[in-house]
Amino acid sequence: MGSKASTKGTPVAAGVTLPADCRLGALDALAPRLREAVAGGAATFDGSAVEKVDGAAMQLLVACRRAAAASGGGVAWAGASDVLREAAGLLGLAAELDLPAPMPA
Amino acid sequence: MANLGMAQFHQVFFEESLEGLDNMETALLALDEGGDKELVHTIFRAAHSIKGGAATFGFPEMAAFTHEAESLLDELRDGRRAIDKPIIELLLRTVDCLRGMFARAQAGQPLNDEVAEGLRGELAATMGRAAETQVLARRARDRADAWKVSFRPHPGMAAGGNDPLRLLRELKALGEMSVTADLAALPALDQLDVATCHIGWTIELQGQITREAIKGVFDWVEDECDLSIEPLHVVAPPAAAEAPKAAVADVATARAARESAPVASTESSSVRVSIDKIDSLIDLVGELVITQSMLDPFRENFDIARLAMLQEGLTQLARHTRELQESVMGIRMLPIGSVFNRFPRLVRDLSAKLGKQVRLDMHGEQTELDKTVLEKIGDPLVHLVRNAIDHGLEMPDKRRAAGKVEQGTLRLEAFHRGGSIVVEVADDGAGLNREAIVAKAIQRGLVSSGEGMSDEAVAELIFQPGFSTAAVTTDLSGRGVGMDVVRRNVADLGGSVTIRSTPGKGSVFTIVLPLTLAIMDGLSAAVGEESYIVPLVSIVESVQLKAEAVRSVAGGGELFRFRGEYLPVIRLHEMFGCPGAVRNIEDGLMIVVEGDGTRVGLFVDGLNGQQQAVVKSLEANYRRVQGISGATILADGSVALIVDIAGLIRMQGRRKAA
Repeated sequence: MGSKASTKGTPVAAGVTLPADCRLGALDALAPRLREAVAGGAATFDGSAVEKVDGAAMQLLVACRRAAAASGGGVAWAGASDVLREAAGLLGLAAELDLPAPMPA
Repeated sequence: MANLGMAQFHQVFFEESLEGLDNMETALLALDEGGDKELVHTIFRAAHSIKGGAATFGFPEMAAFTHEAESLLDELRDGRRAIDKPIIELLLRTVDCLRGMFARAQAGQPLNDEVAEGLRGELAATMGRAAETQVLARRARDRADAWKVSFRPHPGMAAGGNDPLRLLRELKALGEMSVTADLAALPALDQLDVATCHIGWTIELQGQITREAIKGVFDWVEDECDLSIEPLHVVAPPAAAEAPKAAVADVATARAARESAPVASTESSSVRVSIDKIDSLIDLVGELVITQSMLDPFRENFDIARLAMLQEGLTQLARHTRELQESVMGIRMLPIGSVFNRFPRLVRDLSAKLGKQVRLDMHGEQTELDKTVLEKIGDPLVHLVRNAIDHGLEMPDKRRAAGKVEQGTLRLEAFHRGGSIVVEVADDGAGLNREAIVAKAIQRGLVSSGEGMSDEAVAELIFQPGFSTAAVTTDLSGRGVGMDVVRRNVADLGGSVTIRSTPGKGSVFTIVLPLTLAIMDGLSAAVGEESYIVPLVSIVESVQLKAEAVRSVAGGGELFRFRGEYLPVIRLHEMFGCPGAVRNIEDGLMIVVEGDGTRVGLFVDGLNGQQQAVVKSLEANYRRVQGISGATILADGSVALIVDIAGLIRMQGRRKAA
């Protein structure tokens, strides 16, 4: 259940798993970790557990990707939930975030 | 319907919205009287808040309904539509309909009924008709099959709880949507404040969507974003709104159905208290604590030399306790204005229906009354007001013939008198028709003839069960609820109703109510080994009688002469079966009391003194007992019963009849 992110599975350098609740209230905790992850240039985000998201979180993700790209790297996606993909579509950020296509279950 | 988290806010939303509806109604009535156009803004704001709240708290039907009303109000506000009688009438009915919706929402019933559906159609149709007269260009601006929406949230919008994602999701529900995000203002990650909105959107919407519908999505964030809505392709206006008109016809029938089937009671279980009252309570508690610390040393060592100080402390304690009690009682006190508020509307509707001209004169709206009393006094008052307009005030031509001004006056007044609240409903109509009342009473078998009956006694007849004087039973009064119910309801509140009438000059109904139901002043009377509390408000005086002053009459009753009239004697020990009581008239005391306009003598052993009784419900703790209104706990810890004078008089009447 934990909304706290955990790096499970194969540890990826500078990887962050996004929590289930990715809304404004959770960003104070999440933002520093994302910032740290993209500081090195390349990072991997896992968005497959995201159940709730808002505009503020999407904005932060865009800023992270831009920051990573600016320092010569990029953010790769280890996964993205439907909720995350829907939000990116609604906000016109699908291209910007370049989320992975849904994985067949 | 909603989860617990939301439910706790529902009550607040209901209360605020009902208040908003009251304001709407008041403003509409003022507009009707030719009031300032500023009032439209007040009405609009009230409707707007209700709509927003309804949408937020999960009442979409209510939000949609209010939306129609709001659109109409918007046209009034912009001056696109003139404010006339039919519009005000329509909006007043909208207020009624919303009240009904709230009542159903509180009762957890489905919100929409035929009235709501019909009225919504009517609102739409009203606006549709206006559209026909409007220039085509305006239509072109309001209907299109594609829209370009530019939406730029202000930086603080998300922090204020409004998520752009949610708004865009709502927008998508309207039609085919393509969104372009404008990221130009997005700062670098290290300068980004997560709670600030930096992204703007340009949205293209495809489909038969009205500007209103799009605007509706952003209603809640109107002040928190820059918004522009431009049509891309204009469509031809639709055919005249036929469907809503069809619904209109059914409204009248549906309304009749609604009136005969009122929804659940709307008495609320919470009370709003002004911060001043709470502050004064806190002050008083502070005083009490100081007094207590002043008295504290006496517990350890008491020195007779400090007796004066102890006495002073106790006096202070008594004073603060009394003040605290009054303040706590004050929390339950609300101005009667909240009940009076409904009357301008009632009087307006009723006088229009009956073709009478009535001026409503209200005084003393600030008079405060216990909340429980306040909630229950509404219906009796409505009945009295209806009666006054229906039966009391005459038609304009009759008034002219009688040399009066055509416009009748209905006065509603509340004021303090002694420890009671007096509410008067007075009209300057024809007064009670003695002949009609007597004739009716004879027909109903209440009396055999009116001979020798005083005017007061005749007036009392209208309070008899099953009495109704209206020559023609209208749907206003004469619905089987008579003055007897009014009197009973008031009596349940520990009050009384009396009438004073002058032929040709009008009638005055006077309701006397206790200030509060929770505490009453009473005289403690000894009867045998028991004590009874007689409410001070009912006591006229107490006298010691000689044995020969009381006479037995045929039928088993006893009478005594008191200030020129003969009053029946009620021996409390007989009524309640108390052993060891005084039986000899000379050894006991006669307390002359008044209830429901009747005076009787209560025979008791003696008086123990005056006392404030904190009323405990007997019904809740034991069961209802005839002639007893409640119980209280005396200083020595024993229980004393509080005598219900009106009930006692009714019991005595039955005993005599039996």
